[in-house]
Amino acid sequence: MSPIDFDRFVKYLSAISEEQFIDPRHFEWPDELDPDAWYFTPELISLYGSPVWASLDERQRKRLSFAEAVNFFSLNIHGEKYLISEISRRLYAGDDSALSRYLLHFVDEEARHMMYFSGFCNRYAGKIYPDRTLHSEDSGDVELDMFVLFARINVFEEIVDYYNRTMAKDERLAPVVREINRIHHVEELRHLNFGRNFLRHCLDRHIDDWDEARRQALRDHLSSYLAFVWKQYYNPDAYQDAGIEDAFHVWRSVTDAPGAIRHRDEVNQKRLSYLRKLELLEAA
Amino acid sequence: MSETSAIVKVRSCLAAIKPDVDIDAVSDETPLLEQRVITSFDVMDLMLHLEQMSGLTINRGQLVPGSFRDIRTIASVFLGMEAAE
Repeated sequence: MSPIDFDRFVKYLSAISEEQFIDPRHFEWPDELDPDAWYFTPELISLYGSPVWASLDERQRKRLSFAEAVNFFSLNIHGEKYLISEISRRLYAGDDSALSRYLLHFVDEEARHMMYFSGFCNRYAGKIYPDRTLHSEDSGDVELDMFVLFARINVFEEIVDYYNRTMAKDERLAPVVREINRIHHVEELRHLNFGRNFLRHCLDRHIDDWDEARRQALRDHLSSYLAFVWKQYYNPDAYQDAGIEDAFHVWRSVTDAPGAIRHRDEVNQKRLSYLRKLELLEAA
Repeated sequence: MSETSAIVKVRSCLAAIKPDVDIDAVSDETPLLEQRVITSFDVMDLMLHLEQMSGLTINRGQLVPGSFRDIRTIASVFLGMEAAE
């Protein structure tokens, strides 16, 4: 893989962000939602394929699909809040003004995404599911922390984008959720492109300084982070809101069910090969 | 909630989320994050177990690393443990 001109690359991304600005004020929100519609691709619902899923009729499954959409948008809000705060405090910290300029667009786009996600949750569910995540503190090594931050963002966004892309195309879903997923997918493509190249750029500059112990620590950290990201897709609050009995015990049993593990492995396989190629995740 | 009861509940939650760790060997004052008994990635599971056990909803403002210093602190911050006389 040949290194790119990173400075030129971030300037190009800034130009695209400025040209292709999507204004959330123009988004058309329906007054109310159709109770008979799907709001989440059935095959992506966290209980899909489980005994609980088999016990639900179509109306209950659609109700669950709405709660899963609220959970998906909520986890995106919390993920983006973290990302915005972490990137913002690193802006203009060094001498790389082109990078900081692009990161301003990155932050701006994430803030606008939260308007779509929170707009849906607050309008139609009357709430955003709570954030129960605790983020670890910095190591104190500025460059390493920046690298880990973007590696984590990349893991988070790759998985989210798999869902966005699938649901933007799913004609069974209510138009409003398809559109939110589509808009997010379009802008996240730039973020994903940036993230992959940023990681490559950092590795090119620092890989020789990082011994095998540090690289293994990075791989271990990202593997744990990946498992943590996936946990957020299983939320007992959503199961309870969908009317599923004993939501807590359903939650406890479903995350390690064979179907759920298979689903996560398939998505990881499809979306995280780049990180494996960079040896930031263990080979599948 | 009494001190003993709150600490027993926290221990029970930790045992549920970390089945491979001998929680009986961890003292009430062992620094959990520092000693890597748990990591920040385990906190979400721990919160859900504590909420289920206590019937309380966790306040986001409580979610700072200091709240998870040790078993005694978790019991005090999240389960309203009353200190022993």
